Amino acid sequence: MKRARALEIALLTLALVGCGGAGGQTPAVGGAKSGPVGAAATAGVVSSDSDPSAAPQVLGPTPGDEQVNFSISLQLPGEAAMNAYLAGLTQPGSESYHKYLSADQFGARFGLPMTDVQRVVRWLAAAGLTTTTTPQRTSIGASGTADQVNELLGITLSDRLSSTGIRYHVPVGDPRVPRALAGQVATVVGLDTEPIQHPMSHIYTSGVPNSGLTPQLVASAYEITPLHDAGVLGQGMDIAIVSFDTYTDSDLRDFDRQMGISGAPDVKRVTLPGGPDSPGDGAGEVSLDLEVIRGIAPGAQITSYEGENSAEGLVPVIRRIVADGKAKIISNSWGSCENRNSKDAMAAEDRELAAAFAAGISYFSASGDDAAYDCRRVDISDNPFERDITPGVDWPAASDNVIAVGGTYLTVRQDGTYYDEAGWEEPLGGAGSGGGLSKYQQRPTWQQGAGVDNAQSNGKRQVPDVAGPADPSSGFFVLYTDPSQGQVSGRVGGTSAAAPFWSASMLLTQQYAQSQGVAQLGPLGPVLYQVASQQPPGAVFHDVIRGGNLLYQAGPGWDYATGLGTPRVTPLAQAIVALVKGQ
Amino acid sequence: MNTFGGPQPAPPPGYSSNPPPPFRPSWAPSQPAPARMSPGKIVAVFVGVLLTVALIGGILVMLSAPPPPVPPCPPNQPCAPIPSLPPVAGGSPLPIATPRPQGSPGTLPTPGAPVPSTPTSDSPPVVANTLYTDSSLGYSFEYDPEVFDLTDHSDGSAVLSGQFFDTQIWVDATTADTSTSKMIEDELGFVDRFLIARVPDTDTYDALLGPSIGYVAGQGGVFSGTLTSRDGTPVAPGGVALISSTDGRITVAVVVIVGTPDARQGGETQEHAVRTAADDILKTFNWNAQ
Repeated sequence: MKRARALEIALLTLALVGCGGAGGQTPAVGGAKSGPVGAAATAGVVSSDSDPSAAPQVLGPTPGDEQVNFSISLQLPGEAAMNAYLAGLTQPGSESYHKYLSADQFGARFGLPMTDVQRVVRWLAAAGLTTTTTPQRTSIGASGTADQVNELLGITLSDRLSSTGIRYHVPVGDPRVPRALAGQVATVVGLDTEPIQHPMSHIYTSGVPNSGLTPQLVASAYEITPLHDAGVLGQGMDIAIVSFDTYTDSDLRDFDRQMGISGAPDVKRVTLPGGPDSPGDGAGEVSLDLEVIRGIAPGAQITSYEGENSAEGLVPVIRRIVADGKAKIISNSWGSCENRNSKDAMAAEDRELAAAFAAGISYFSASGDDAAYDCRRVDISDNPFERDITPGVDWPAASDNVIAVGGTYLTVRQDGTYYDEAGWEEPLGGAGSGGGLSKYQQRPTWQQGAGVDNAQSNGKRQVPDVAGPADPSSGFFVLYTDPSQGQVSGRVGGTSAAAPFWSASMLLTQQYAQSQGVAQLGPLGPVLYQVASQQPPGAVFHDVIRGGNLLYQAGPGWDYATGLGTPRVTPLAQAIVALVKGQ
Repeated sequence: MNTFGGPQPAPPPGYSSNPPPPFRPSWAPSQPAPARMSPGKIVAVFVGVLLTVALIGGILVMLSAPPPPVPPCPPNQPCAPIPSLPPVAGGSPLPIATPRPQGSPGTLPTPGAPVPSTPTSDSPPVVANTLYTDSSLGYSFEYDPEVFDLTDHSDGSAVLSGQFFDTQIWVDATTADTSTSKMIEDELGFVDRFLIARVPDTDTYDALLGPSIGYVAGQGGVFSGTLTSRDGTPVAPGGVALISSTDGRITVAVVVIVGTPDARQGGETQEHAVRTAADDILKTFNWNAQ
């Protein structure tokens, strides 16, 4: 056998020679890497093809007349009271139990007095900026020219060009806010528009041997079918997706047609300032979100909130969803390494997420696709082969106002029923279910149960909370239009798929709850842990005990790869409604 | 910068995103009969008529029999369409039990009712790719036949060659009295016959962060060097990643060799593209396939 292998290797190298146009006796082709590999050794590779890890190019000052959008994150004078209120929101016996707050109520209770909000608005308006205020008083949106913003904040906006050809701006200097407004302004966010939010999806566009997870197969494997059969299809329910790109309308129509879905509501699109005006590289992500939700909850009204992809891009998106007050489920498949976000930015986004939590919104967020090493794709030097491989988690999945969704590798039986699942990890490629310990966020009191307290626990937020199918090898069937390839279809995975899977499943649970006289389930993170603690293992969750995320092993109870596990949707819905009705 | 969401590579040759060809009719149109027939042809016609009568009889029998059970989700094919929805007017909620055009609505589950156990089924798991089983040592794995060809195999060993990349994957196994360290040492000995100037690849980008095979943790390493032709002439850069694990019964090694590893394939290097494809082998590795 080894001799045969030798022949194969010889053929391999000859093939290489053929590809390279050199003869069999030609000396070495190119320079081999010699460790440790430095930029010199890899420079030929990097320069031969645009590398997304390469350093951005400085273009110079942002044109003075260019329109710039940012947000003023406001102080919440009632923050301590807010934290207590949120903690009680899902605690039976608490004064605030199940007393969800509309955006108006949140603003009035915890936000600045309106007179203070107006002071900030007047300051912005005096500089010629236009402003957007929302009732929850968490932040103010502002728009103006670069010249106006530079003058107001004492900064210089400077343009950069990423190696992928995207122009963005960053502030040079720290934004300056009048001392008189220090009691009102928490921080200024959104001035750095580098598109760091990345979709957590892995896309196999073609050449896959099977058609992927179709709606019927998902419903069968995860026991959604009994709800469907009872007519629970999402009718009359609203769900919002966070998008930093947009989609091609005809793709969803084609998906519906191919999957036999008819009569589903048209998706609504809300484009925020700086949001996409045409599908870009993230179009596949948006289509993935829409189609996974459409397949599970075809009657639901989906609204795609499409914002500007930037470090603090979540602020205006969440602010708008909460202010609109319709969706009680948000699905978010975008994020970035926690270390990549400033503490101020995360604090500003968490204020928005807190308002969502107070409104009873369940916010499902993908936990990332780089296993326990979420910063692995972040460049830390000019050498693209040098990466941060210290353990890390994704933001906003690490927020305690969010339900973090990890990933699994699903195997189904030939009759479509569930067979087995493993924590998603790819030892050679490095992908896998995001999970681990936050560096900054404290573990919420509701994150309790078997497996939660473990040898690695350190008091910080533990990610993920739950999991869904994410390995591209067992990915969802998705159809979308790629800007460069046209319409393609195939299996798509990533925790980007798992997040909308959970979002849609819990939307059906909410609809089912309403049919049972429970008007609102509220934020489901705490509820899921309570249900898991009350039910025997395997009753409502598939407890994933194989696989892991390259650092942590999946195991009985909660674990860092798959959280509480994946849902048996109908039994879980029954248990959730019984729990909430009994409290 | 991450590489997610970046432009996807164009499909390699042989890949297609087109839908499968439409189904063809089961019956081909019959040939026009000649005006005069020879005796031999008359016999043939007689036999044909006989077969036709038998066929019609068979069809009638089949029609009178109950239809065979149809699996709800045939493997590797789209499932039956999910029920159509009645139009939702003005976004107003519809009654939960709105009749649907297909099938009869089921009853709503009862909250707090005893939770049924996971549905049991004797249906075998889907095997999406090509299954390779080594009966001598009792293990198996799947590989994608549209990406890799099985170019050599024997007891305890298989060699897969990439169709679109200059790559080979070796899957070797032996009894567990060979340690994983010894297995790695042996594999590197073979690697060194074709890869000169082999050195550890210390790029964090290429690091193996959690080596395992079939969810059994092991050890591994990554190396770089120069691939040589049969006569020992250096021809191209090469990258090697290898993992070895043992379950106490057998010890297995998976070796991935890639030519021009740092060439770009979309947002990743060629080495990472191959390694990701090879992960399917690791994920489907069944240590006890007997």
